[in-house]
Amino acid sequence: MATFAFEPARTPLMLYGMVKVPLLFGATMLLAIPAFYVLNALRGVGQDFPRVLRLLTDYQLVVAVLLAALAPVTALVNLTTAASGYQAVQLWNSIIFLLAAIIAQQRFTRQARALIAVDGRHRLLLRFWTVLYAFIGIQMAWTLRPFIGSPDQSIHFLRPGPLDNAYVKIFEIFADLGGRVLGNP
Amino acid sequence: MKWLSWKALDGLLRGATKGDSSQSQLDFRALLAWQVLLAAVYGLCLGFFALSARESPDARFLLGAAAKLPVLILGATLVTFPSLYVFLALFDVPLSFRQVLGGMLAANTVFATVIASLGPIVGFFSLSSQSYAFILLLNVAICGLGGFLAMRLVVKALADKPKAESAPARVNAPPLPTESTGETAASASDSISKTSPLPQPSGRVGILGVWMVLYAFVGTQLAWILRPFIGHPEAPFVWFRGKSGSFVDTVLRALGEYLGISR
Repeated sequence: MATFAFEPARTPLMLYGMVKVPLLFGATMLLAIPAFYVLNALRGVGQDFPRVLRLLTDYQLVVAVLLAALAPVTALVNLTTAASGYQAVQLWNSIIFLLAAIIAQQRFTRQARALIAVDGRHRLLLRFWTVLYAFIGIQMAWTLRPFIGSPDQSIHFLRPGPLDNAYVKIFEIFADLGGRVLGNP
Repeated sequence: MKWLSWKALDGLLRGATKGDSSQSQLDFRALLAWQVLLAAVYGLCLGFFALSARESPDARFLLGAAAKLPVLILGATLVTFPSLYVFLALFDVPLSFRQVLGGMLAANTVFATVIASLGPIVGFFSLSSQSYAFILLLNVAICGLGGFLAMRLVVKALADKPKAESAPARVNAPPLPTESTGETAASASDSISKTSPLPQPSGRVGILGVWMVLYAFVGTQLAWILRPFIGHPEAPFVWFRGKSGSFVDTVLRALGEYLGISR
């Protein structure tokens, strides 16, 4: 991802990216696991947790493999786009991430079905997992920015300045949009 | 028995004691130790907000919240336990003093476990957010979830409990902390929640509902006088804020602020 607008001075971004993408998935999962175990136990399926955990780590692994497999394509696009095409590169990288997530999700659903066949209570739990994982993952990705690195900004591991909440930001954008639509008909 | 016995906690979560909270296997000491520890862990995570959102990080919020959460849980238990015992006794629920106490400790421990397990998520959002309203609503939602799950456990345990003379062997059999028992207890309570509740325990669940409203009121009021837990980024550190305002008012205000209706 960090190969965009490559020049020797931007090499640190590539190293940061190599740390941050695994961190994004790993940290999100680590934060969500304790709560998920407690919910499983309370729902009475605590004994299946080793299987559930395998399913979840499997998902992470599949996403990682897919992203790695798509990496040459990403690198090609990033390297062949001029620095002025930052937004196009952002879009492309998002599509790649989304693609990897959707394919992995499909495999996840298939494996989850086997688990649900053993015990129907897993259905709601796994749905809850997806929501929880996405909820944390979005904020994690927001916190770990930049992944690609805007060519106009200096190179940092994290964006300088105080950390920010993605949901508050999203809400502000929509509120702003709504305000503009309603304010200037 | 160890103070912090993992087996005692995990057994409780997995429903080994769901059918009957009377059992001597319910290790009171372990439950008490776990709920104090886990509540403190959650309090610590709450305090993280004071590390990121203020101009100069203030670690005293961490200490304050970690000390206040256990006080809150134990305090609410102390205040409401007598009424619970009397309510249940008046409604002919065949539970001894020890059993009621055990049930209450179990519910509190489940509450503390659920919120503490969500603690890392709260900690992460606290460190990476500037919005006090968001953190406040997140915490209210998490405590709500913890309370809901803990109450569900109590209601199930009580609905499972028959009158003393017509006790089926299954429910009164001493539950062992094994997987199979956990399953039967869980499936038994599942079947109960699916079929309409028996006329006999429904009255009890009703009186329990009344008591829970009482408990929720005491809990929120106690939490209110123990403030601040999170600490508004612009307010200086104090151990206690004294008497002012109310819980409901503030939650509505935060919601309003988040939705941009009021400030």
